[in-house]
Amino acid sequence: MADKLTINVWSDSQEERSVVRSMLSILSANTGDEWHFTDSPSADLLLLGSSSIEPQSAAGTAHVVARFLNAGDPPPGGDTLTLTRPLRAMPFLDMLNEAARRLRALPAVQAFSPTIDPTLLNQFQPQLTFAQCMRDVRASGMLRPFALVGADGAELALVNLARAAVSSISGVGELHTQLKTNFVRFEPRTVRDWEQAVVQDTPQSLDVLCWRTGSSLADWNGLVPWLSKNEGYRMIGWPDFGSIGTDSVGIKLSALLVKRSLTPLQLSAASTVSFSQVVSFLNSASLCGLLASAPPAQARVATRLAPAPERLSMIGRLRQKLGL
Amino acid sequence: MTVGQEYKIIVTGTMGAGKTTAISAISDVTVVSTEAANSDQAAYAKASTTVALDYGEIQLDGGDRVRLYGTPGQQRFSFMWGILAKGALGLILLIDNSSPTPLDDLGRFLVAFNELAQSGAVVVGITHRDVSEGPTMAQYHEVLSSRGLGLPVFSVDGRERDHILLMVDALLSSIEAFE
Repeated sequence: MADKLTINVWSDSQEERSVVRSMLSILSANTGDEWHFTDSPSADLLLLGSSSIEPQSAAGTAHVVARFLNAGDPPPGGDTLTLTRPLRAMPFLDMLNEAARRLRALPAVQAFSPTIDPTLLNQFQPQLTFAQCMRDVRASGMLRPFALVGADGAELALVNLARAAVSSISGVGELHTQLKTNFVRFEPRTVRDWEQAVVQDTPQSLDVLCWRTGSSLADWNGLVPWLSKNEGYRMIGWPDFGSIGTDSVGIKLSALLVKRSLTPLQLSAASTVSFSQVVSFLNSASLCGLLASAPPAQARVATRLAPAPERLSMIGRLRQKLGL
Repeated sequence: MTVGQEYKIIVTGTMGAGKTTAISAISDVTVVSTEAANSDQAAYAKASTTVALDYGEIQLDGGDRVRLYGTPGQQRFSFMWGILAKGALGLILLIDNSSPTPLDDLGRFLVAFNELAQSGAVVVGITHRDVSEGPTMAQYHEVLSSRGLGLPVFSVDGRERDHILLMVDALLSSIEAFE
């Protein structure tokens, strides 16, 4: 049976992308499968046209990676598929068929169901099932699209981790409300499923959903079960407050935690932000995949680190002037 | 008469990313701009572009001033970047997500402003994410982490004052946290 497969090209050259796209439209019918061009980084096949991108950097997003080579270039290590410039029909067809063969040989993408102890859940905490699935998916390194499926089998939304986006008919605000009353599991979907969904529904930021969920879990439950107030944490990247919305407290906490590892209590003391706000921030950062465990720096937490007085004064006045 | 202290924030980034607009959003004075007809339509299709620098300023209580300098975005003016960055408080870096090579652009500016980047006094704004697929935010984070940098990266609209203030807030918080 023919599979619906997707190919993306990462290249500095728009012409090269166009050539691949055109050739694919002509030759796809001559393969045993149905190939489609996509801009998604989680395509089934990713063709690297730039020598500055290593195949490993695409691992976890695309299932199969191929590299363009110039005539005379040494072949890359491992079993990376290659395609020599200039692009010709037969080698391109052979590469597509080999990629399809490798894709079919891959193990099926797993589904994710929450493994939370049911006794930890109460009527207010179904959204913990979303949180745990999200955490497990991120831990797996799997960046394929997933469907959020409710206990009754209804599909609530599609999630595309590679693009950090969510697609739902109701929008992120309503979806967040739905997750408060729906126990969910994640079921794998294809890139084609995602692309068909976003034709109808404009995708929205997954970080927004994760941020809101982390925050509302803090209201009911304190820290999510996999975080501890005695463990040290460090940010591995800043939240995208451009998408999530400006959050002065979040900015302050991010700036501190990206520089050093602190326990929740230490972070509260160092930032002079209330512990409940710290809990909300840590929950949200964890769901966005931005938090890593790390031993806390014991010596530097007792006091707030003070900038030079002159600069502190200027920064304070600048904040006041700009209304920050 | 007491002369106030002067501080400097640099706004840089690719051509068309919105540097001039960003400075205009927070400047107390009308921005002095050195726009000229864009002779590089292949790189970015807009009628005019900055060729020397943009200048704005924020006046603070006590007579202090924060000068805002916008650099020209084109690579051929890169000799000016180091001159402008000298002694700067921090850097706002705007990358146009719809450019052909935004990840390479980010890497290029991080090299050019390496000293500020290493000191943590840089915030990155990704513009035009709504009009192009382009790289994901995770890919921008990878470029930073591959250089050992934990800088803030935000999706922004350079025309939105709130987004410019968000970047300034993050820049100031980063400076405070690094002191």
